[in-house]
Amino acid sequence: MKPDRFYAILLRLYPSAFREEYEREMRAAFRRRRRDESGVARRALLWLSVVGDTLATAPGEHFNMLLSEIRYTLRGLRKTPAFAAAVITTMALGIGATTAIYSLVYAVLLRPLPFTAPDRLVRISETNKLLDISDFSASVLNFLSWEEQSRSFEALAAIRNGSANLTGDGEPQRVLGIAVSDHFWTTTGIKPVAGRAFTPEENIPGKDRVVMLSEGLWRQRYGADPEIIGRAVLVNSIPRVVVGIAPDDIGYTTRVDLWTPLAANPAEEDRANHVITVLGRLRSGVSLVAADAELNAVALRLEKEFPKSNEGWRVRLTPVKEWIVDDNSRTSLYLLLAAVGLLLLTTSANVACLLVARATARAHEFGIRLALGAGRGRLIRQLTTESLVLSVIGGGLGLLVAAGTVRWLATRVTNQLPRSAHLALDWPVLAFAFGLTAGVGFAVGLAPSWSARRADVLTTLRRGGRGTTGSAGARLRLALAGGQVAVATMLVVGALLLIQSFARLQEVDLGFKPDHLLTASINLPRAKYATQEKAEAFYKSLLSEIEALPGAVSVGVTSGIPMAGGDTSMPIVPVERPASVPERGIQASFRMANAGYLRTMGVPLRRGNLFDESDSKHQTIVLGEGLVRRLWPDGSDPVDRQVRLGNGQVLTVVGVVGDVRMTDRREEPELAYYFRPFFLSTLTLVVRTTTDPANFVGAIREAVKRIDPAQPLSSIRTMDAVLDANAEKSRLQTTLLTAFACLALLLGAVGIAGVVAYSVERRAPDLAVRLALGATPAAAIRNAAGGGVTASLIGLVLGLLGAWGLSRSFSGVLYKVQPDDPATFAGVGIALLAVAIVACWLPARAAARIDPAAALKRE
Amino acid sequence: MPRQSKFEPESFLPLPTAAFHILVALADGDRHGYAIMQDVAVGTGGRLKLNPGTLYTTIRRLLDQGLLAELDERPDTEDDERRRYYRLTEMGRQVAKAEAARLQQALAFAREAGLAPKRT
Repeated sequence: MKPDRFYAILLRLYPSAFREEYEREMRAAFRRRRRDESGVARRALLWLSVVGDTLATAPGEHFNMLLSEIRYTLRGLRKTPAFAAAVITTMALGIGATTAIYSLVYAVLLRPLPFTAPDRLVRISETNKLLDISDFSASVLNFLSWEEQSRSFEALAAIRNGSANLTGDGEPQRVLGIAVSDHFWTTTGIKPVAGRAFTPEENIPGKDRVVMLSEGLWRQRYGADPEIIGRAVLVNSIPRVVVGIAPDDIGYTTRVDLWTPLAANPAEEDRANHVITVLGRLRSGVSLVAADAELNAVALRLEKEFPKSNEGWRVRLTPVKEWIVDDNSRTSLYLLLAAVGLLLLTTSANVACLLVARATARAHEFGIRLALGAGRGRLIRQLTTESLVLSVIGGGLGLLVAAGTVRWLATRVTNQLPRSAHLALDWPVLAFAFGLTAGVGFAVGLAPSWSARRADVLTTLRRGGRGTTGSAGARLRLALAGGQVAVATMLVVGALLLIQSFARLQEVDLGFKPDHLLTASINLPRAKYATQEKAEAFYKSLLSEIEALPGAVSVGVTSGIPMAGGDTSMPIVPVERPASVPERGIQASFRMANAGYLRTMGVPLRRGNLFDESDSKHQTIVLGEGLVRRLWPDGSDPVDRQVRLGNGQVLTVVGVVGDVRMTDRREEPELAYYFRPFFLSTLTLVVRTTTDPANFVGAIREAVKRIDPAQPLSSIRTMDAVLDANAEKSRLQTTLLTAFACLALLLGAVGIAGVVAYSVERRAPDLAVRLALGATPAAAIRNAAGGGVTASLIGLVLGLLGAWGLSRSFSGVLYKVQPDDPATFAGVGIALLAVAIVACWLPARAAARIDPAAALKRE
Repeated sequence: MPRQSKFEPESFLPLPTAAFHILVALADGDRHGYAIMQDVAVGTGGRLKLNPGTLYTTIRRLLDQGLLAELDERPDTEDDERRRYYRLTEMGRQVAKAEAARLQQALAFAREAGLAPKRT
């Protein structure tokens, strides 16, 4: 290769604009220098220094080029502030909304679980076909048998949830706790952040007076004092020594404050009492199916060995990932992601439209720059730089939008979506936003570049700036506007389906009257209230204190209020069993409650009476009417009959009450029964008030303090707030989708109107000729709006088809609304057609006002 | 850009070596790129040989800064290659002077410290 040729290749490292200016000169200078140097060694040295020189100076030229293009772009944008504002705002909304939803998806679905090798971690639940139970907690004794007999697992861990009162060191505080078995740490791979985990020794009953604090509690209550390790704290009035600090994120639950050893005593456990969550780490090489089969064989052996407690009980293995994020949450997130993806698409299309319009308007400028020798490549580079500059500004503002949205989301979803407590704009999310900004910048930059790709000097200049970029640009803009209508249609259909579903959910009869109710939880420590009688005495005086408060109507106490999450259930069977009722009885939800609870909640009494509060033997039970129909299908009166519960207790039915929806509005009311409270478990107070129940919080705290100053109250909420929280997921996705749909509709309408306005302007001479030849103004308007209407119609049809296809995938989130509900589709079709026609008609009116003479003269 | 406000030669200092030598080479007359290269080589006793990359990227920057101007007419018409000629602007001259003064001061300082031979 000739040296000069090689140098020319080297020069390609410089930006083209620089080469256009200096390449000839540089090659000439190089030739002269080469001539001056003779000899192989000196020429080799020259080459070395020239190559080094090029590598050292070329990047700077590129940077300089970029800076000057950015400056040029910013100057241009300052001259067209309305355009710049429209593009930047639209991009900020698109990028911001997408980033916010992504942060949610990241927190819930993508953020790594805090376990080592989570793929081999499974949740083991118990199932029972005879009792129609598909997913249940395990019993401690079954867990111990599995640990002993199963060979498929490296380790098994048992977790028992509970709550505790923390006293001493300041205000008494109610905290959420978990008790974990010996192998919890090896099973999950979770490690303490300070101090140590429990030793196997500490898992022996009697030697378990130790505790670990969560990092959050350690910071909040003890100011992250490292000296707390080794000190004793009062948990339920029992001193326990703090041995370590546990991490806040344990993957499957939103909050844990306090850790204790499970320290199960087999002698005190009941094999029929299903109370623990079990996790297992599969041995490497053992498949889920194989482990499932092996553990079920163990379950079968246990059934033979313990027929009374284990009849029908089998196990089910679920990968932790699927267990932690349930299908419903997953679908909700995918729905939001799909919706925001569509929104991003429509904001990008909108921006692309604006950029094409601007490129078209600047065709004259481009023509001149081409005529002055700028390469087409440079023109496209300039257009891309422009769209990137816009997207970087838009993306920056988008981050502010995202930060605001994430903060708003965080207050709403943390108790509704698993793992969402760690929702934040963290690095992975920022990286996503950055990639998104660059991607959107490039993508929307393609549109004007495409329309400018055939720009040539002559036609552009001759047509006074309405040249080739004009028609290609016009077609592209029509297509983009039609696409926006399609996206808007899909989002509007989705939003309408969700709104109807949400409205139907709100109409559901809960079976109780939720207004004017205040709820609060209490747990009496056993160390202080040793007996049931002492605890009952506490509640007796508390309930009468509260009932005496001015404005209090009634008060009651229960083991669990409806719609607050969690359920307890146990089989129940009539002692004189009708033939149609299975021997094991029917699995039904139970709540401990007093008569005051049922009265306060407004659960209607159907037959018999509520509990007699003066009866101290607690041998009575109240049934829900749905359960009564199942237990006595012949319709006989259950009052005064006896039933036997799964724990062997035999109770007498005193009354029948209406059914209550306990966990989910979407589900039919649970089969349920109520018996008298065991006063040493966690109980919830329910107070009905004449005025705003929120104003009662202070009075109730005072009432508790008067009886026991060290006793904390927790989860103080109005029933309305409980219901709001329960509906939050549906409300959130409905709100977000509606907002996205409104925005998409607005952008779509603006997009179509813009295209029509531009077409009127571009075709003014043509329309002028028609008007001059006698066309009516109405015909001119139709003519001008035609393209826009056609594009809208195509977009509308495509959008309805797309919505029809997509909505089926999300039918799971809908309640009593068909995903292909014909009325919704027809309504959206008609409404959006009307919007599109108005959006076309408004700018098209200008066609009728064209002055033929003026328009033709301009030509 | 500094030239938009009140012009202050000091705001350009210190000049990169290549830039200073290019300004100096143009002080006594207009030149094309290669001639600048030669002048600099001669003026520095062959110690500074500018490569085309450094030469033209520096010229481009000096043009942008307004310290150089490109000539429209080519004085050296016999030249077969239609070269580009550059001229020092008034601003360029002031900046070069300021840089020379700065270097002189630096040299004087070095002399005080006995790091450079005293002038006879």
